Amino acid sequence: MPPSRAAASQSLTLWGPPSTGKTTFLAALSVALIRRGPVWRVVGESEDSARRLIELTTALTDAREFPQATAGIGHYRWTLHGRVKRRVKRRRWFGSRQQDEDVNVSLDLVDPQGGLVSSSWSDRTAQGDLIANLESSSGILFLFDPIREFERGDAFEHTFGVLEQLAQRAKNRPGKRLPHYVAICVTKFDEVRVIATAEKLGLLSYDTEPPGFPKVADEDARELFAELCNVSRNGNAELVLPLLEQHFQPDRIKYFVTSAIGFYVDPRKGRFDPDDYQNRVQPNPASPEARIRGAIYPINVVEPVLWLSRQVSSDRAR
Amino acid sequence: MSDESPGQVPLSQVITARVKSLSGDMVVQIAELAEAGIVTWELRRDSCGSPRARHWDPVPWSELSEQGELSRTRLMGFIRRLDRSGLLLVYTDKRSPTVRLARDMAMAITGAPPAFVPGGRFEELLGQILAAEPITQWYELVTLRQSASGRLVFTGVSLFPPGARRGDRTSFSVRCEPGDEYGTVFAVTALEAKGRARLLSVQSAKLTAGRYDLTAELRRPGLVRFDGLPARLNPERRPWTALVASVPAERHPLHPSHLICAVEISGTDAQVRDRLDRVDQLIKTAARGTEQRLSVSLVTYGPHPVHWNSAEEPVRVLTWARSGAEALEQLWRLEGHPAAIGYPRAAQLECVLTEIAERLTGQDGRPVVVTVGARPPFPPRVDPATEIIPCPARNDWRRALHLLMDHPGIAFGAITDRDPAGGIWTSLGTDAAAQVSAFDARRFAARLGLLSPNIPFPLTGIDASGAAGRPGPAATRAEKDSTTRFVEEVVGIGPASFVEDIHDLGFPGVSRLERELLIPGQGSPSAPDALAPVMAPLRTVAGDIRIPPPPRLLKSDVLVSIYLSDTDLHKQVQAAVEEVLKRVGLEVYRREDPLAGSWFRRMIAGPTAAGTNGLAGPPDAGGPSREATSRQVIANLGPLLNGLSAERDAVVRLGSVLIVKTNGLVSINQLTPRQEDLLNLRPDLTAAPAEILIALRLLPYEEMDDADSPFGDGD
Repeated sequence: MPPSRAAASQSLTLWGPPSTGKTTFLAALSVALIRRGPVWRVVGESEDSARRLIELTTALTDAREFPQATAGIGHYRWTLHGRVKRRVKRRRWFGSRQQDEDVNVSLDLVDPQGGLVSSSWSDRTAQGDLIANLESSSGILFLFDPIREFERGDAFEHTFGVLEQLAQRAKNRPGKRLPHYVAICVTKFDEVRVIATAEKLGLLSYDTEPPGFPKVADEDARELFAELCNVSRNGNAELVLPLLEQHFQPDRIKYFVTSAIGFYVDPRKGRFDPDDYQNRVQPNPASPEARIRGAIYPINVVEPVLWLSRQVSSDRAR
Repeated sequence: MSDESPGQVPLSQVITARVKSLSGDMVVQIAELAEAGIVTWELRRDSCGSPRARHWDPVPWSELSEQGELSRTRLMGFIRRLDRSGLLLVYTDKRSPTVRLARDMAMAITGAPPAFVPGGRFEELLGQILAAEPITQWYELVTLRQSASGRLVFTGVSLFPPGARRGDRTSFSVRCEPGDEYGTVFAVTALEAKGRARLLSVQSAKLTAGRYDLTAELRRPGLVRFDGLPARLNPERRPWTALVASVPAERHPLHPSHLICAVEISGTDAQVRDRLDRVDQLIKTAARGTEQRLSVSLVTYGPHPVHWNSAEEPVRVLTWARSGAEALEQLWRLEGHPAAIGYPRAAQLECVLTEIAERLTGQDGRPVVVTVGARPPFPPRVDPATEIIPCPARNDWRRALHLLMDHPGIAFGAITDRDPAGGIWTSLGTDAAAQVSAFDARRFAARLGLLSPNIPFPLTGIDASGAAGRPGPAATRAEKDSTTRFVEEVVGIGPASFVEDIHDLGFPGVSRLERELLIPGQGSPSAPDALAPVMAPLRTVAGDIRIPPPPRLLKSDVLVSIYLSDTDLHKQVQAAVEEVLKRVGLEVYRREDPLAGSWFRRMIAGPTAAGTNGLAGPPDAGGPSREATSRQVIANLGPLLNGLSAERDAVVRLGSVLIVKTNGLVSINQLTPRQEDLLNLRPDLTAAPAEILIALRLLPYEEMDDADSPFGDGD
């Protein structure tokens, strides 16, 4: 079936508390799309954005370094070009049919600086940008970093503030929840403590295809998210899940367990080794600086983006 | 000291006669009418037979007066409260009207006139009388002699026989070998006729090795002074049991030793240089101390690389079982080489231990493994506690260490850059641990048995050249065996009457010596040899199963044992035990062969690579505490209790958690360290369900309501 001629436009916002790996996620998305094949690609909307994308991606793949969380990253613009299948109605009694549709998905990466109740002008401006961005998005990629949450425990504070302001702007929809599709991504699946938790909960299965990575099925991702929230540093993370489900329509939320860099695979063996899978190494435990040990294999990085895009496209078709 | 009064027996003679008549718990009481009031004195013999006096503060005359006048009634009451039959009355002040009045009243009350103490110094008079008393027991100096088989055995030098008096002197010779940092111990014992012995005094002095001609002088009963020592004797503060335990098995036990030095060459250049310097010191010291009966191996190791395609610097065996000189030559070549780089949080300790374990045959001498470095090892697989990446070869330091520990007589020493906070470095420093910044090579080598061992007591029967000769006259008397008996009693073979004099007995029935020797790393390397005669009876038979002593454990190890009266279900119960261990982050990595009879098996468990808690949590290099592990085990006993449901009698020990089933009744207990010590001492109890409850003072749950705590007194 030939694609429709005019590409549909969508916008997705990559959102999460500060330093939850949004930049790394974006860099990994580029790699994941390359691994996935020719249908989808991410491009910079400007020369600066394209250059920045190259820097982020090569940092992961060549230098094996995590990209720095860049202040002002929100000024860059990237777009995902791809194709989704859309169900279109036939006339009268002929029902519906699948039709490929080219889509351009604008990716906005918002990285809020400062507290959301800050009184400074610049912070208020940034907050305003963030809220406006979320409000106008078709879908939201919400990143939850369980390791940061265990060590810092600020996810609830951040999420609560943003959602309250977002809800306040949508007060012309009394009694209704926010209309966005939300892909909630539990990140850092490659971390020892995250995978150990999934294993303890009995949520792990393994890909049958090489290299045989472990995975958590999407339908189990919420359970893992809930469990990881329970070990938050300040105990408030357990409120994040009900908070999100309170503000967004539950049937528009989907959970994913993701890893930007994936698990380490010894190239000589070519298979996942449950005894040796750490891809992120921290030379000094007292310092947050970390390096990547081997090749990166992003896990569930493309999938939430595609899910959001399909949902948005389907919505438009109705 | 005269107290003469016409027609009266002198007071000193009266008191002397009373003192002579003292035996057992008998007491002589004396009331001294003094200017300040009435002083009550009590004379008795101590456990060594020495007469001792003590007194109480004077009861002032005002307390015995009414309306300012001495009351006859009150004085009578006071005197009668004392033992009238044996009471002696003396007075020390002739001028005081109150004393004179009291004397007259006392005479009227008792019918005998109180004796006057000329000069008024009754304490001095008593001191002179008691010091002049002859001793009633044999006094001996505790020494060692070399038996025909070469072993060191306790004996004694007879100093003074019963009847000896103040000023008596006796001369004798002893040989002193190098003592430890506390010096050579001069312990004097008093022996009763029936052979029971008690310590009279324990002193020590730092002496150089050599022969000493000494004179012992009896200063008074209970006090012996030694002349002829070049250094002053100071009170010895170590417990007697520790002193006995520190005696090496032999005077010259130095068998050929194989010193294996594993040096970490990662870190800063300065760190590496310091480590090499300490190894240099150690090899030189050991080479001198072992009279060249030393072979040396030198191994270096660094970190694994982070990335698979980075060059791996493997463990390097620079020299193996060669002379100290050759090892030093190789060591010096390392100086100036840049420190190895790679993964910065660990070093190839697991690989170096594996390499040593594979190479070691034991044919090059008693192995002494000295590790010098700072970093922890790479784990064999993902380690959630440290998050250190695994060893590429999957070598497991714990397995390698246990393989090494199977070599008889092996000793472990560790020299670290900083104070090791548990983990492998504590295990590697089992016999000697030091820091680079404060390294005493001689002391370190001595602890590893690389130097002639310290001999803490004087030797007898050694000729002038230091060779073992015929025992000297002082040691030939048949009675000398009583000292040997005394020491054996202390060691714990006999009734151990002396042990009562040592404080902190600890657990009932377990002498301090036994407890101390059970704690790894506290004794000298020779302690197990010293304990051999004690431990032999402990290899006991429990019912139809002979239980060997427990194996040597690493700090992180958990000792597991299973005893079942019904052998049919052992697979099921063992699987249940391993399931419980798995739930708390432990795994069995070593299993002893099952013992037939009923069914008994002992195993060693250690932390799994997955740690004790699969949930995201903070890295915890030190591991859970003993208490925390016990709580986790108790909370996860479900599978085991199910597994035991068909058993009538069983004893399962999971570290400090003990499950006992007798006649179908289950008792779950968290053991105190003392109770664990007792089980280590009496391994037979772990195969005796009925006896273990009694020995540990435990009761089944059903009886707990009306009983004292089943966990004993706690710690």
